[in-house]
Amino acid sequence: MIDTEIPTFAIVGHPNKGKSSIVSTLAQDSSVAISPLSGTTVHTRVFPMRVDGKDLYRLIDTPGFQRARAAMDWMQKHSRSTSDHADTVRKFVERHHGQDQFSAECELLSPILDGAGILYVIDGSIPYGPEYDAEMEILRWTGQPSMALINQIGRSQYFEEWQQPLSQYFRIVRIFNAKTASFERQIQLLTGFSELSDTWHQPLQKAAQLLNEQRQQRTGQAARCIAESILSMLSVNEILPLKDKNDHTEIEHAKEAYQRKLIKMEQKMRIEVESLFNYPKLERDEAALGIDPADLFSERTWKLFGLSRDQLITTGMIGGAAGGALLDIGAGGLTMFLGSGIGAIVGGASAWFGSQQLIDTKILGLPMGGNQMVVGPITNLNFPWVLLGRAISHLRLICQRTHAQRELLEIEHSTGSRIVSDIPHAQRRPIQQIFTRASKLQTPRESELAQLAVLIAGLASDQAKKPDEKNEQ
Amino acid sequence: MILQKHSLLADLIDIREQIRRDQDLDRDQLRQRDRNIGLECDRIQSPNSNRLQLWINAIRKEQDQSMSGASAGKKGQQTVNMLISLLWMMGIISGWFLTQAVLYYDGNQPVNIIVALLILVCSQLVTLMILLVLTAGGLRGALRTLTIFNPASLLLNVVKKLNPERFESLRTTVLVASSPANTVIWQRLLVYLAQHFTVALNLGIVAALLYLVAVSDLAFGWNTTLTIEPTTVTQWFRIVALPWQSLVPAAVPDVELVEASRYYRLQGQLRTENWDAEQLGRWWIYILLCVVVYGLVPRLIALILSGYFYDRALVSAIAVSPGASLVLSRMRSPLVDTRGEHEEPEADHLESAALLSRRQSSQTLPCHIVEWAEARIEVRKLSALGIEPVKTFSAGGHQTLSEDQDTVQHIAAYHPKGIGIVVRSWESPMLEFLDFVRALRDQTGAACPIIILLIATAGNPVEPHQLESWETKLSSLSDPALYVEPT
Repeated sequence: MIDTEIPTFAIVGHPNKGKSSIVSTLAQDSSVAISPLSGTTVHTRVFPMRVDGKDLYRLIDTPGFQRARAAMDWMQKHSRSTSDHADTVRKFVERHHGQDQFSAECELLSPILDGAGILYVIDGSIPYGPEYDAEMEILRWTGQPSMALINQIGRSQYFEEWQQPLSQYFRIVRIFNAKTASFERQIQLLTGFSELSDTWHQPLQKAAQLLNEQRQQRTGQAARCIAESILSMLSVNEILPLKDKNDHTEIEHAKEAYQRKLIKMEQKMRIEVESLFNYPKLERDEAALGIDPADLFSERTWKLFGLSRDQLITTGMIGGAAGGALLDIGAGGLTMFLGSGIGAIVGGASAWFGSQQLIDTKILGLPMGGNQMVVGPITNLNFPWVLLGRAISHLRLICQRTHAQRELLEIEHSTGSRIVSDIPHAQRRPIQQIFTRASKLQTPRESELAQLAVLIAGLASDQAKKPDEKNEQ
Repeated sequence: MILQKHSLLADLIDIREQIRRDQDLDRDQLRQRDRNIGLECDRIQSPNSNRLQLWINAIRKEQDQSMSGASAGKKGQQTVNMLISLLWMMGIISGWFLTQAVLYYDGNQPVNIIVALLILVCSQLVTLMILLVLTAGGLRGALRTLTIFNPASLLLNVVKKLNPERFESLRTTVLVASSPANTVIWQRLLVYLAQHFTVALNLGIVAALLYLVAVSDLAFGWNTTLTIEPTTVTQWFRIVALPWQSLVPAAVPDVELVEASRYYRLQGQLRTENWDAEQLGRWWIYILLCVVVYGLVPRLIALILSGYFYDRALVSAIAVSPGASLVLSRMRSPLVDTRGEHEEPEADHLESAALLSRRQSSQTLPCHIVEWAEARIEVRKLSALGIEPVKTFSAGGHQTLSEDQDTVQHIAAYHPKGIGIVVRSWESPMLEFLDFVRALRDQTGAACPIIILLIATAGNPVEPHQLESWETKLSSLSDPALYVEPT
């Protein structure tokens, strides 16, 4: 039994007319099975908007009518007058519940009889046919508030043709494209459901407000994720042992490993952003992140005991200072750290001059030091902007996408370049400073991350806002 | 929800560690977990740092039931506690031996009061002043440089070598990541630890002084090459003694004592004006109070203040921990979920479907035509398919079920060689259509070919997915003489 205090909407209609697409989009749920083959939905499935465990509204996806004329025939035979239509429908469901013959009709009529509002979905891209009349008549018999939704699936448009039959059965008719509807349009449709019942106005308004907040939060979190990832990518490097300084193969391997690492980081960022918007297994089609080897900063560096030359010198100085400190203590502290100073200089100098000899020394067959290859970070000033453009392109597409879309996410990165090049100079300068700091391996400050995230969220939101479909009403 | 007593450092380390671990967890679980904790926190108004502490406490509570062993935070705090203990030991030992050395007296030459005060008191005051000036003046860079001379810093390096695992929890949170918050924590931790050392040092000095006074006879004196009157020196000593002048008058040296304590070294012999061992020993209480007032008390105040500022740095760092904003956001934002309650049920009847066989149309087949739901087809299209229409009937759509049955009866009465049913390709085949086909088959026999003729919308071909949809659905009838053909 449905609690009628909570707005509940049964999405009903002919098979394969996009009921599940509409539910998938409004519920932001990619798990809803959508297929060009009919009969994909065989059972009702409830999609509640749950806020901290409490339902604000419920959408119910239902199977399409299968034997509408036979059902209507039964009802007509069992009805005595117009006043018992709703009871007759109830009797029909009670009589045929659990039987194969009218399983689809019973499934879809049950929530309506429990108080759900009716959202009757038709495909506006195909012509009206007489087989729809029995369905609409049955729905009218239930006596529940109803609305017709013209789902605009294909290319051809038959809106005018549909208007007349629909207006005979439904007081409210709306057009909605489940695949391309912007987020604003989705919210508009949701709040529009309150036309079915005055008591549903307040919870639906509340739902719209919370969904808007959730959207902003998701965009903000995605922007933050992008900001953190880009700054990490700018400061990443690949360190590999280098046996032979002149071996170019090893150097090439290091560069390839570095590129793979960057690509992996970018992919991780993509997945993170997608999961924020409830796209857990989205397949993408995009050009891989390309890196010009010339942009790669690389150096051969020297190591001993895992310490760089500078670190070793410091260690030597401290060691020397410790020796000097003993001298100070012996002198009763009267040398005023002179001993420490001398010791530090001596220690540091011995580390510097002795390092080249030590590198070739082995203890128990283990080398004490060696050369290594350090690749990255990328020095090209344009690189962070390329990353930013690619990330914004992706985020923008995610913001625009609906959960009814099941195609590959095709990311066109030229769009990203355009977005980035349009950033005003005044806005660009502080961001460039953040990028420069990151490429110098400096840990980003919280304020810098926040500043970058705000810019990304702003750019993605501006780009994600699309004019509503012209032919939607 | 009550804020459990954990050290701030342990909270900071555990918060950062948990945020790092959360990156691998399921987002829905995180939202659910953090919102539940957030709802508990909503009952009390608290700043972000407190909220995060409540958050980590709640997670610890959960983990305590499933995990054993100390958390990274607890280990980090244990490291700091261990350092504090070591510093106290070092401080007391250093203070003890330093005093023993400074107040060394073998009966030949009195302990020089001025040197003793310079080493035991003035050196401490100077280092304290340097610390204050550097801290108050915002010279953090210089402070950072000076940390290499900090005993706590040196001791940390020793811990790092001796027990790397214990050091790790500190390293990962406050030592390596060079965020501004971490730098502040690191500096303040070292200053705080250093104050522990110096308080212990002063206690060591006091203890050693009392010990020497108790078990040996000490004689104090002073000397100078300069022409300074004992009255002037007395004034200096009295200025130093101002803080306890009224409380302990016996610890304020008078002119007689100062005069009596002066000595000269001439021709290898010690010369004094009025040598009185008992009188010279009176200086010990003056030195003791100097150490207490100018050494121990300022360092105790410094310990309290540095502890306070260290705690404040930790609180600030908790609030700006990387990823903390996400946690707070999850705690504050209502848990909004619009997704389906259960998994999508399988549409099992589609899987078993096998494609229909193709009709061999070598010669024209005379067919009775059924227009299903008013779907109509041009004769030329039928001819193109090798179908010759014999008679046309209506079914489906606005027809009633009994009219459909009549249509079936009529067709069967003709003993048709073939039946063509015209349907709209864009409409999905429904069960009532399958019922109609079944009825036709029952009445006309298994051999009569039934051809489903798909028509498309004006100007468009039948699309492959439409054909597939019809074929799939009709194949469930397992009828070898049933065909689907686009027109």
